[in-house]
Amino acid sequence: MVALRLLWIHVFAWFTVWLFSYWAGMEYIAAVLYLIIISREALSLQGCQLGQRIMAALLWQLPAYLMTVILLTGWNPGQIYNYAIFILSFWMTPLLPWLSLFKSSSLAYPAYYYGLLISAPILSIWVWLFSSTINPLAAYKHRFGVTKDCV
Amino acid sequence: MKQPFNLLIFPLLTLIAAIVIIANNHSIIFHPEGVTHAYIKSALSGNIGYGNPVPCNNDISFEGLEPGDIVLGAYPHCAYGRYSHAALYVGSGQIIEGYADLGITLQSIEHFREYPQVCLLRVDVDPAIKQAAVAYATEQLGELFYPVAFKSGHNTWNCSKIMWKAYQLQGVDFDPNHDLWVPPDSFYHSPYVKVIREVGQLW
Repeated sequence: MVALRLLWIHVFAWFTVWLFSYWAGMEYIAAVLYLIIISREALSLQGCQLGQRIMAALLWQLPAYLMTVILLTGWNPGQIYNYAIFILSFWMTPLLPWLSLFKSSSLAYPAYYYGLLISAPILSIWVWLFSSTINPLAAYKHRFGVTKDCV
Repeated sequence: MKQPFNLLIFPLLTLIAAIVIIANNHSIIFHPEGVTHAYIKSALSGNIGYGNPVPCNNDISFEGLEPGDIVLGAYPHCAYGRYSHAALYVGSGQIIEGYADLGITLQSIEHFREYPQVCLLRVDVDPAIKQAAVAYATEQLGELFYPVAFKSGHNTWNCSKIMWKAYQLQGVDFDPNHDLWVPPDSFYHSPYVKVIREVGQLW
């Protein structure tokens, strides 16, 4: 359930960050809000079993993992390889304001391309960390009465 | 429902942003010659994206190009116009262009032979303006490519936006319609250019 909620948030954040980029600089506000919201959502996983938390952290980014694997391996299911980078770019729109800060072009690909490839694992780790009871925001859950809702 | 704020905030912000953008740009968004109208019309007939790459090795000559000139390439069934790709010639057989994986990048002009249809455009302005446009585009190498980057945004680019911005900063606007995006066709139809050479057939 949390994975579906995260997916819902992610998809609409996609539109919000994109539309906010119409006003130069506003996309950063939407991108910060996105991180806050997914963190809040991840807090609801606290108290769930480790396996459930890992599943939730991975499932909502499944399309990004698939595109990343396609780009890294050259796998071409349904002739999708040429479009994989476009799909991944669109999918990671909520993170694009941060990725655009990487300016290096001295490698084979620009820095943001490598950033795109590691974005899905970073988001999964982010959710997993916020769902962990060891994180410093654990008290937040109890203070605001966030209830348990695994996977 | 638990934490409805989390689920409602982005749909709400999306709706507000879309309404404001449409309200500010309704004349061009709904204009038959606008990019949005053209794209929706293409999408409804099954064309989405930059078209269908087809095996090709055109024989166009790149002779006579000057730094600051524009190169356009077309694949069949491009959704946003006749031409699907645009690049800025910077001299020595090299162009600056934008790709999803490479960002704003410096490449050999030779790869334009892969397009079934190519057009070379002379930008008919003062050479100093062309040099300044090339210098600006060069400064953006490595920047992030985003297919639907708004013209007004400042840190995401696509192949035609980088050239539009490079010239717009010099007072040459290739999009007098003030659209939300700049398609490659805008350069072709601009009064600032004349066709040097083109190959390929319409489909």
